[in-house]
Amino acid sequence: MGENIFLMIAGLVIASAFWVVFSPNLIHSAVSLLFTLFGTAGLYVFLYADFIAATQVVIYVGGILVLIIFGVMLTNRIDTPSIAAGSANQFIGGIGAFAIFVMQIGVIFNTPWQIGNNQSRETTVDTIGKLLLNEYLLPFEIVSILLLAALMGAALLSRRN
Amino acid sequence: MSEYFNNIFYGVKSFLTGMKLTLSHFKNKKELVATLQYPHEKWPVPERNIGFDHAEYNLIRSRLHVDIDDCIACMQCEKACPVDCIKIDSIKPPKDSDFDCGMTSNDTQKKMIVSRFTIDMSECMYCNLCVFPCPEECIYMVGGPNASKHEIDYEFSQYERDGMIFEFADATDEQIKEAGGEKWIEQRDAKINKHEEGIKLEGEVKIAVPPPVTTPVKADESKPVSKTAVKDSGTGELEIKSFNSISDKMCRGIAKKTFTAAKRAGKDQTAMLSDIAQALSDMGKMTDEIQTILDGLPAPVAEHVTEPEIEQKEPESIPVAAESPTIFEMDLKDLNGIEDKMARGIAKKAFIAAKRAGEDKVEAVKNALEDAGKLDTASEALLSSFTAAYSDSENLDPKVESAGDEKPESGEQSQDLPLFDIKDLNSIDEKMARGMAKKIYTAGKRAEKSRSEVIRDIKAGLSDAGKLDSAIEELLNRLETGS
Amino acid sequence: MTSIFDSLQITFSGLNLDLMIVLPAIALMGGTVIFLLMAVNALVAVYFERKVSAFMQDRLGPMEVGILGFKGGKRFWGGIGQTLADAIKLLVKEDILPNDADRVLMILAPFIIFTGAFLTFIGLPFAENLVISDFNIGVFYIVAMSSVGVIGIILAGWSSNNKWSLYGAMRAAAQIISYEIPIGLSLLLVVLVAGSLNFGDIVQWQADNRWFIFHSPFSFLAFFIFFISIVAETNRTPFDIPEAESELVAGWMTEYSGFRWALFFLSEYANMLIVSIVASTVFLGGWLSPLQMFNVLPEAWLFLDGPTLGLFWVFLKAIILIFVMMWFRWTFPRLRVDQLMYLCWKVFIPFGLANLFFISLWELLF
Repeated sequence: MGENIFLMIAGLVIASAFWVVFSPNLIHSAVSLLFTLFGTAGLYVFLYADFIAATQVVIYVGGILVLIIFGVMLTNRIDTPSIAAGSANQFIGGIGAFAIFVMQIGVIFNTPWQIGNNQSRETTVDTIGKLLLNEYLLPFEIVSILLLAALMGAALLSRRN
Repeated sequence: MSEYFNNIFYGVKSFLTGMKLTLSHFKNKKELVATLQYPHEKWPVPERNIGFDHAEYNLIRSRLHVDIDDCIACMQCEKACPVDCIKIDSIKPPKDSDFDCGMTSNDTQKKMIVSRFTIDMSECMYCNLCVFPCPEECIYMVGGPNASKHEIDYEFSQYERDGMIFEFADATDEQIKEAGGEKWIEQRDAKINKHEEGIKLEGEVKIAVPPPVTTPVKADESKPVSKTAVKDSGTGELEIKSFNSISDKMCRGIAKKTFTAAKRAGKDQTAMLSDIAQALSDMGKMTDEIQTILDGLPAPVAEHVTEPEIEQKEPESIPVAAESPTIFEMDLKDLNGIEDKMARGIAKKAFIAAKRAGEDKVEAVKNALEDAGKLDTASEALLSSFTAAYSDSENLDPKVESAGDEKPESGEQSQDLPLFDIKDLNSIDEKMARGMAKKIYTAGKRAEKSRSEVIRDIKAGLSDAGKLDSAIEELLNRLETGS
Repeated sequence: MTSIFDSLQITFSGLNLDLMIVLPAIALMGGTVIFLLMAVNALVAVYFERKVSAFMQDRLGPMEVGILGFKGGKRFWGGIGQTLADAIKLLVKEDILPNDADRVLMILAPFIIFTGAFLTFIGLPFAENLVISDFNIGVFYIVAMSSVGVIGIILAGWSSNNKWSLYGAMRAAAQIISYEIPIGLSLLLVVLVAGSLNFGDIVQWQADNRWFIFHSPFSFLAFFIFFISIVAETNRTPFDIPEAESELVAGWMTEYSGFRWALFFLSEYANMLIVSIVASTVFLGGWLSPLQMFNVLPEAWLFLDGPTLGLFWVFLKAIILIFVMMWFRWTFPRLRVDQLMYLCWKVFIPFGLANLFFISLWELLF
């Protein structure tokens, strides 16, 4: 049962990821990205990482995807119904992509995967919180400062003059 | 910085103020509801002139009405109609039969009965041409100058198109047959059958075959005169024929008309007589002779009638009080007596609200006027007259009974009579005297004085002010005797 | 707290059925229940809204349509069949797609919005042990799922190929994303105090201590920030600039009709119910009875406090909150865009952050 659902979700992720790349319409790409991201959240659930799954939805679907669609809409002539996705340098790009693909396949097959058993549905939020605020406090704060700098930079850039 | 917090404070404050306002409206929905549930509730027509003379203004805002009891089937209106929207069928009883077609209110003996009188108001063009030739003045546009005969029907909307065809004839099949109209009924039925067969053949499903359309006149319309006339007139009831003893023709006409109007309005005999007397005196036709006739009229009737009347009233009065309080309670139209336009509007609104909420209407209207600062003595007197009428209706049963018991024994009528209506004082011509009389009346009523005491007070007050002339005195005397 | 899903699974596992059959069957049952709840909620809420608005404007509202000849009373229940008739009318209406619209996305968009509302219901507690599936991250799950709707709104606005729709969608997206922050900050305050994201734990904390709204001045303030923000999040007046009918016709819904417009409507009223239930669960004690606070009940009446009436209390609180939202709607005029943003970024977010700081101090001190 669980395996079937996993296969369905994984299939959805891959199919919509393909459509993100090959769709002739940028908005359609963005919409299929929605399914990719949502499917990924589903995969996190399979790993009993419910907090990460919900975060995935909040940040990627609710935030970044909206940002992408906004960007696409505002940088094109939005009153035309189809925003075309063009492609250039297909040969070089194809080679690069294929190289990365081979590399990833290699990594996947050469990694000694730890296959867990009898995982329980314990809450992960406590652990994440404690780790973030104790052991990994410095990286956490550095990321915060980075984001703050980005925010201020954006505000500065978007100001006239 | 302080501006920022001031802004927030001001925002919260105005937020709460707004919420309070809408909540108060939400809570007071009973009194404040402004919409009218139109087909179920209706405003009265504003009695405003719309730019025409009073005599003709209602033509374009009303419809034709026929007092079928007065129709002598002369066909004048049918001939006059330029668009042929009037259709009259009549049946003349054979010469040797003793079928009585009845009398009109103008004292004309009718010679035929009207079996059909239809007016198609969807075709009518409101030219008023049918009204002038009528010798009995029985076809007229409702409302306006004819409002006393029939109130205005300004909307006259119908749910189906057939509703625009008004049927005024009210002769029953039996009457038509009796008058020798079998042939006419046969023809009519054949027509209906043919129509229905045609529908069957066509396969068309009709929603409802229009029944012989009844006139949408007021429900409490009296029995047709012709029917009472057919009956023997020995019942002792006041009848239109009773006025035949008045010799002067015009007076007779006036008396009869007033009688018919009063009968329609469902008034009782004493009220009718006082109406007639008032109408006559208004016209300046009141003579001693007529006065004696009128005074004499209820007298033979009184002994005869009081007994059955009590019996009739007792079972009636209970449903009357419970269901249709329109007779005694204040009606919306009664508020038209308020002269100030704005005050009238306020009063009407308050009245409707109170009616909805089932509260005491008089009290509500009074309060509303007081709030608006529009409560003057005239309107207060008007309103308090309704409280009086209302309390009268509550005490109706014992009073009628006691009147019935005591009348034959003691001759003192005036002691037991209920307090008269303040409207009766309206026939005082002079404005100041009227106002004064009404004031004294209201004061007396508050003190729960009896009728004779109140009248004595009024007389005293008026003579003190030097306003008591013979006309007022006569009126007051009449009021005291209760005629 | 055991969820319906778990208890059903336990019940069915006694029957020795294949899990392949049981799980979809349970999911189907849950889905049907949620859908019915959404439909009934929309019918009742629309009627409620029309009556409330009517009474606040000194009208009577719908008064003519009854159900099977039963026409209700003279005031509140006067037109009780009206919304049912409206729903039937909507379903049989022609479904119009504009010529130059993006057909796929235009058909897809209402379903995305609807799915967002639908998924939210899965984690929503209606009473103790009455939740379709009890997540450890309950509150966070609700926040996550309600953010899915934004995508649907943007897609609906863009795919209609209509400038009103597009403007409406832009405004909606900006507004919803902005107001998610004060919502998150207010919820964070509760999570900080209760120490859990789970609805059951949060309500348990309130049962052990006191309702959150009465916990401290800061949580009292947080409730109002939260409540006003969820009004904005559901695009209701006075925050209805995305659909502002006087300027944008109907915002992103302009080009929709018939069944798909009904889906928008359904989701909108479902969202109202969701946020009200969340507010009542998190701040107002959820399925705890308000009588519990006073301890005045005699022994025999204690069933009022118990779990039997949990559903009643949750819905009572939610309905009161929904009434207040309607009350807002018929009281205030629409905000300008800049006022809307001012309120969010310059009032609610600073106050929310300060709140978070002070509640931490409060927790340390007391």
